[in-house]
Amino acid sequence: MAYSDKVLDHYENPRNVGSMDAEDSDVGTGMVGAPACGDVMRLQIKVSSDGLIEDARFKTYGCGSAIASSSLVTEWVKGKTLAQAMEIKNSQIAEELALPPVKVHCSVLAEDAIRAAIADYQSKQTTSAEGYTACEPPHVSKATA
Amino acid sequence: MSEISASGQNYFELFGLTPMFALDRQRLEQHYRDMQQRIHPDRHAQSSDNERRLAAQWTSLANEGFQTLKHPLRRAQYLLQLQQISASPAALPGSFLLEQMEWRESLANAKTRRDEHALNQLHFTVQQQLATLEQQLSDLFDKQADYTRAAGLVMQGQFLEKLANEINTAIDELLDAAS
Repeated sequence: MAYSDKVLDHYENPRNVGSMDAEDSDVGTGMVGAPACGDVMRLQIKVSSDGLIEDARFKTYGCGSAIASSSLVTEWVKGKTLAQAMEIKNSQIAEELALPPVKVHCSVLAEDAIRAAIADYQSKQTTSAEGYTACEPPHVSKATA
Repeated sequence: MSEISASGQNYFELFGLTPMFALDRQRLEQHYRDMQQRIHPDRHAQSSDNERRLAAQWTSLANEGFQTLKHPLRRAQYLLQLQQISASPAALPGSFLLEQMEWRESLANAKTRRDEHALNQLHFTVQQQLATLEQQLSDLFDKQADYTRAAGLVMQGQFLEKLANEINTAIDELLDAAS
């Protein structure tokens, strides 16, 4: 099956490959997998004190479409608020990359990965807020609400 | 020969087996061979079009059933299908996914370094994990009837098998290049 030019571009020049310290309280890590094809994807976001996603990294073991979907998503989430990032839909990813129907599940995986990363970040804020309320920036309570 | 749609049998019934994860492999093979003998399309060369069509249908059903039951993970998936149980990938433990990620990384590194020893070791680790998983499945299906947990393990098994296949391919490529 032929990949679209955009998939090939992301596959050959993946953006934002790598990892960030998963223990860092500003970092949210999303790990997801697709049993049917054995793909595993890790997507990480770093959230600034004003609640914007300032950086994103991914590592994906899987087919070209899965790599391209996660690469694209790291580009898209940068500069967005968590609420804006939550609005990214797999259909937008699939459309942008012109994924054929059999590869749409790769874009679903990428959407799940952002949501998992955001959820991880938010759970860290809730946990630390219990102990260090005074240290938490004001945006946190809004983001977790 | 009867119409398949009218038979309504599942694959276990087709081969006269109890629907369980533990399987008498010899019995399955024996039943499969007997059935092949009876329904082989060549035996029906002189029969009517309808008879031949049915023979072909039964052959493909027997093949599909045999492949499904023979293979442990496919048999497990089929048992879940009979119970109408499905699992969501969201239920995969983070620790499991992390380990998959690390193993994939080890595989990629071993491939780059052309390290046959590392590939063999990884192969061994994954095969061991798969063997453990099959034992757990046997317990969950046949003793505890805990299909929900079985469904979770089947998903893990799918990852492990995919990884095992990729390791095998990597080893083959290394050996091909060396010969």
